Amino acid sequence: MKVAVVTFPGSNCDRDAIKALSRIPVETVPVWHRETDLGGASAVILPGGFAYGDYLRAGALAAHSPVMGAVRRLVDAGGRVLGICNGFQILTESGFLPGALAMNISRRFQCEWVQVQVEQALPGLPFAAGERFSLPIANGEGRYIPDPSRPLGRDAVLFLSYRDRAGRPHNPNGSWRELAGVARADGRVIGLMPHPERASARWLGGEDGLRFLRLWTRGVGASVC
Amino acid sequence: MLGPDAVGLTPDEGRLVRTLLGRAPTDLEWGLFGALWSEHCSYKSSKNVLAWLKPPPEQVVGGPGDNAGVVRLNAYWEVAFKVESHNHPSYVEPFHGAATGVGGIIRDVVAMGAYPVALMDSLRFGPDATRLQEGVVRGIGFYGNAIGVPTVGGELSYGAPYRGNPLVNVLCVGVRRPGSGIAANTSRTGDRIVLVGADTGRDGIHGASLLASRSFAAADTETGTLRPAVQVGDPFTGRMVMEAMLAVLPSGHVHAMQDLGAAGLSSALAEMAGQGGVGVDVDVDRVPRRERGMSAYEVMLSETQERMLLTVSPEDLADVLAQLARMEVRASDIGAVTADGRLTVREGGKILAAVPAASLTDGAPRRPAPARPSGPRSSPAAYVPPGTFGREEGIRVLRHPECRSKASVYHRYDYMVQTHTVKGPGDDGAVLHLDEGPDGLVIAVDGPGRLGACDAYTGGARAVLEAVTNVTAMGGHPIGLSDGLNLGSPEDDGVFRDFAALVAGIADAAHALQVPVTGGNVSFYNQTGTESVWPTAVIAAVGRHPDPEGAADRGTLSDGMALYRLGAPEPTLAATVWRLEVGDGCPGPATAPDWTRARAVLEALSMLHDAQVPAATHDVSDGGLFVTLAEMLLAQVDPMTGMAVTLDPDPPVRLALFNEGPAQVVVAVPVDSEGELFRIVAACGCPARKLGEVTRSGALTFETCEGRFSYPREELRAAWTSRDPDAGLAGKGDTP
Amino acid sequence: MSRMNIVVHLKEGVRDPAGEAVQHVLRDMGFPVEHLRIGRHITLELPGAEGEDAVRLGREMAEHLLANPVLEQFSVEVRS
Repeated sequence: MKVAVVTFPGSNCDRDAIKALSRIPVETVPVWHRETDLGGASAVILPGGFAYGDYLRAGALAAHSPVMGAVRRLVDAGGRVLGICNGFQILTESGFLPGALAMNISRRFQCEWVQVQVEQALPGLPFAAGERFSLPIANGEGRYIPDPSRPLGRDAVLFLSYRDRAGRPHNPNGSWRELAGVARADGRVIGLMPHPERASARWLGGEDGLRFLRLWTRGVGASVC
Repeated sequence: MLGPDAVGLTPDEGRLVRTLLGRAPTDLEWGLFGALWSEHCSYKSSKNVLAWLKPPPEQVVGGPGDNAGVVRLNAYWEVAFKVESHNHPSYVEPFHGAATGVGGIIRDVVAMGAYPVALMDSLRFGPDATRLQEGVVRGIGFYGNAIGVPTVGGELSYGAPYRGNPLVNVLCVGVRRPGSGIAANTSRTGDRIVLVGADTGRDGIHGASLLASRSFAAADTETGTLRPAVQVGDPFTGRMVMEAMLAVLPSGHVHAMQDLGAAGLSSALAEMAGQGGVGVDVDVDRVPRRERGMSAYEVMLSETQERMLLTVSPEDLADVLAQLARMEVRASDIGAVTADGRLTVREGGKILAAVPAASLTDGAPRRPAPARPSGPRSSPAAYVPPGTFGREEGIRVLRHPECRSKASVYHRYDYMVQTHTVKGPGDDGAVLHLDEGPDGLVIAVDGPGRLGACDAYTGGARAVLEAVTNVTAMGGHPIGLSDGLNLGSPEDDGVFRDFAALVAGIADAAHALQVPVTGGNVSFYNQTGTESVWPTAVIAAVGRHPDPEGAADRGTLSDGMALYRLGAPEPTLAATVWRLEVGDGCPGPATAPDWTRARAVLEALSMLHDAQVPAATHDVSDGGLFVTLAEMLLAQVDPMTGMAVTLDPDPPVRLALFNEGPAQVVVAVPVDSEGELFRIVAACGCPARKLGEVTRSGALTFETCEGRFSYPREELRAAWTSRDPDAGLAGKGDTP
Repeated sequence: MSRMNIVVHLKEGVRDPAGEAVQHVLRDMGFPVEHLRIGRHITLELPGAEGEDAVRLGREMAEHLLANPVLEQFSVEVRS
């Protein structure tokens, strides 16, 4: 079992994702955005960064990369995709997930630690509703805007929400309903703004991200120690 | 036909060019000499003075003169790093000026074959330069965040002389494997010259010779005559080029690498050839253009960003071009390395310039160095105004722009990308975990301009001491320095004397602390009319951290820990934030370090870290002991953490709390480690004084002979974060 | 009342990295695009100003805020 990590031109968290997965450990295969197969992987991560500079709109240009066809085939065949930050933006721009990510209400790039809570368990994945993670965010366009024509609750759900340390709802960027992550109802497609790969060692400030990735990879059936 | 004046050369320099060539130069040749002999490219005023900084060869892998200095960290890594300024462009166009400053220094590090792992920036503005600051901060974030190099710290400071002359100095640090470096010049004749990256446009023509090598006359900035020289930053292409360059190196096919910065192709080609003792022959028709109708002159002098130059054997050329094409990076074969020592520029069949490359790089007449100052001009007068401490003074100093929290700025920078930031912004320095090898990397940058306001020698010496102290306070052993020097016009004799004194102060400090200066940058002409900046040395220090994972746990205070001050307070309030805020507002004069005592403090600090004593340490600088203690308290997550400090009857409370004398550090140690601390300070001859202990009061409390003063944590926090330095400014809409 | 369209775009000769990236992807998608440049389009309403006055105010707004004179130029179009 392998996890593919895609590099778009301008991705900058691809190696971080590979490093974090190696700490689980999970086998990874790096994939350039031009490629049209995912090297036998059963799951794929679209990492953070600024694909094509995030010019035009964050994620808009990368959504047209050749590799996205392979991602669609993988999901159709029962595989899983996790979009982190820019990867989440690419997933909304390419229609895998409903909604859009707009400029933070602060109008600023925000790099800070946040707490997130699982709002809804997903089929086939061992995330428990109410479970919390302390993770960093680092984005300028992380404010979720729902799509009225594809409301959450049908084919996709509010998966993660921002919380404060005491577990109360907290909104760092003006996101709709404190939304930090969306998942397709079948759990195969997850997008989140926080960076689990950055919380992958005690000396990085915490290991909650590693726990998050471990749960996700258990769902994809990857070999886990 | 052009002449010397049109390209920024003096009549004497013009005559010398004619003599060197033995004929009248062509227009393009005038352009080449104008650019390469500019202050910005040639360092003609500074080079003889900078020779004082030459490090002992055994302490460096690559020193001054390279694109970046290189020191050895351990068997796994070498560290390439450099501070560079982008002051003038940032004043003219803050957003793109700052952004291209970040891109430029990153390419310098890449040109050493090192992967950039961290950025820091040192910013100086006039008071209330909110709009300028907003543009610069957005520009730094725009470029650094997108290219994927974490901004792990920096500093932000204000002073009236920076009003018309803001300083934007950026440090980039990279790492490479020992032996994996790449040369900046070549001696392999026959090699092909490959231009990589963005297409060339009319960006920034004459940026080096005119924009960076002249003072701002009021008329220039008002009418915008200098404006067309500013370039647009493109971190996306920057990242593509960076990744591609570092990917082609392991093949061994690339023999030399240069980044294109000031004076673009002209400078990169001249340096590649001039320093290698060879020639280059290029055809501008082979340079991909973004615009139609560009002249050869414009192509050669364009400062379009995100370009680099390589040399490759003809037999490997196809492989290298194919690899770059796979990475979707544009590359063109533009010419060859020759044996004739000349920089030859053709346009199709026609030769437009043919000049000895070494005359471009080394031919500019250098200004002789003055006598080397051996210390401060005079000992500074003490400043001890009458009166006793008032409780509100602590709050006012903590709230002062020099002291208050800069979190609202650094949270706009990605300081975690690359997942190796163990300690980031907000600490004395940053600690990076390098994933391989036993050691981490410590980085600090310090440019205390106001300490040089009255005496440049002292300013230089103190800047080095502060940077080295910061690295040591983070648990690192300093291994190298880089200096960004910022001054007014060197044509002003007073400024030039200050420059010499600043360099002498740095050189003496580096010698006293045994840390080599590996290179850096000189930015002159930070002057508007007769007002020039304080002679400002921005010093970056890098160090080896023997226990980077352990560094994560340092800094936490627990109940009962003992608080000590290492070093000794200075009996003056001169050169303090207290003086700026509560006193008469004068910025100086600062005291030069006592090196014996400074070394003792640094040694004790090092031994404390190496002995694995779980101490929290923080150096005393802006705002004195009061601010140091307040910051240590406010760094704690636990809101009940407090400190009870008892001050001696002498010195008076104000002096004790607010003096900013050199080489003072606060350490907090568990009670069972106090014995170890005593042993260490005794062994080092380091002055040490117990201040008090950590409590569960949630307040910072001082018992003094002038009374008892208590500051609840929330009051301190409110003061420290009181004025968001750029509140209400976002959204000018200048982010592409 | 006037309605105003203000179009701000990069000056000729100033590099447009965003435009380059969009053009690159459009070409990848099979559209034979050249010289793509990205600008900003601002619409606004201005009560109490007509004709020449409105144009003058539009130009002032563009010069002082909406456009960055270092990099950009603009055009103002007014409809009453």
